[in-house]
Amino acid sequence: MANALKSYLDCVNKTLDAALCLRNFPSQNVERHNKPEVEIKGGNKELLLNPVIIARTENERVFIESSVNSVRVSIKIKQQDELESILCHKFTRFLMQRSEQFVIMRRKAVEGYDISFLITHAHLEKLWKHKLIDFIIQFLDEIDKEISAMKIAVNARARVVASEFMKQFSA
Amino acid sequence: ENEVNKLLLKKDKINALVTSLYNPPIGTKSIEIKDRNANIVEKVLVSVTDAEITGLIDSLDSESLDTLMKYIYRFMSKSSNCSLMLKLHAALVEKAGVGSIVRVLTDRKQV
Repeated sequence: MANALKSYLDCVNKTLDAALCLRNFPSQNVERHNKPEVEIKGGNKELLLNPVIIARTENERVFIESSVNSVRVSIKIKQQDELESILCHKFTRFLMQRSEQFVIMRRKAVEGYDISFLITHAHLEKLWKHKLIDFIIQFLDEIDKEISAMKIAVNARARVVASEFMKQFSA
Repeated sequence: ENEVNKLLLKKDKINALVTSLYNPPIGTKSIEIKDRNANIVEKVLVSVTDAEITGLIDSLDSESLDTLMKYIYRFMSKSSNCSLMLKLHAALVEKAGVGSIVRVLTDRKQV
């Protein structure tokens, strides 16, 4: 199990390494504007690379779309039951509301995915590329553990609350 | 296609892979041809065991390696046999380097 996770993370690592080759590219359509080409709807095809999906299972995948000056990385987190999907939804909402603090995070996830990162050439000029990739890999690694920990905490609290509540009827 | 089946029956997996990767349908716009080719390649890949992966990859030439990489990403997007695809991906990158991924990302002619 741990081995599969490691090869999944390695694959994401290498693919991000290949995709994160960005340079400044002012907009071709509008003068003096500089937009991330991957975000433009119906954008110029010559500026976009082939999007790629790396999947560990059907429910856990990473979607990487890259272009000449930007890359969008969308993550779908494993959610095995209703409780996990609610926890995941709330957690990602919490993160996305504070996306300015994360710099590279997108305020809205791409459809079909739980969370998205938008990395532009400007970010790569300030931040180290290998550190950025390490951050995303770490994120992928820890989010599963966080959600399981939250689920255990919720179940434990619910059990305590329920037993306290029932005590008034029993004794 | 028949050749690949024959080779598989003979348990000659290396040549089966080479034949299935040879002449991929990059130019055609027809989806059916691409799907059929993908099914053939997938059949071969599924029959490969872990230990054979390195030997298999070593025997392919650079063009076939790139084609194989394209197929790996295609199968991953359909989420079929993901763990096998991940292992193949790791072995391929060791042999061909990050460049093969870059070639998949940039090549207009998708398999």
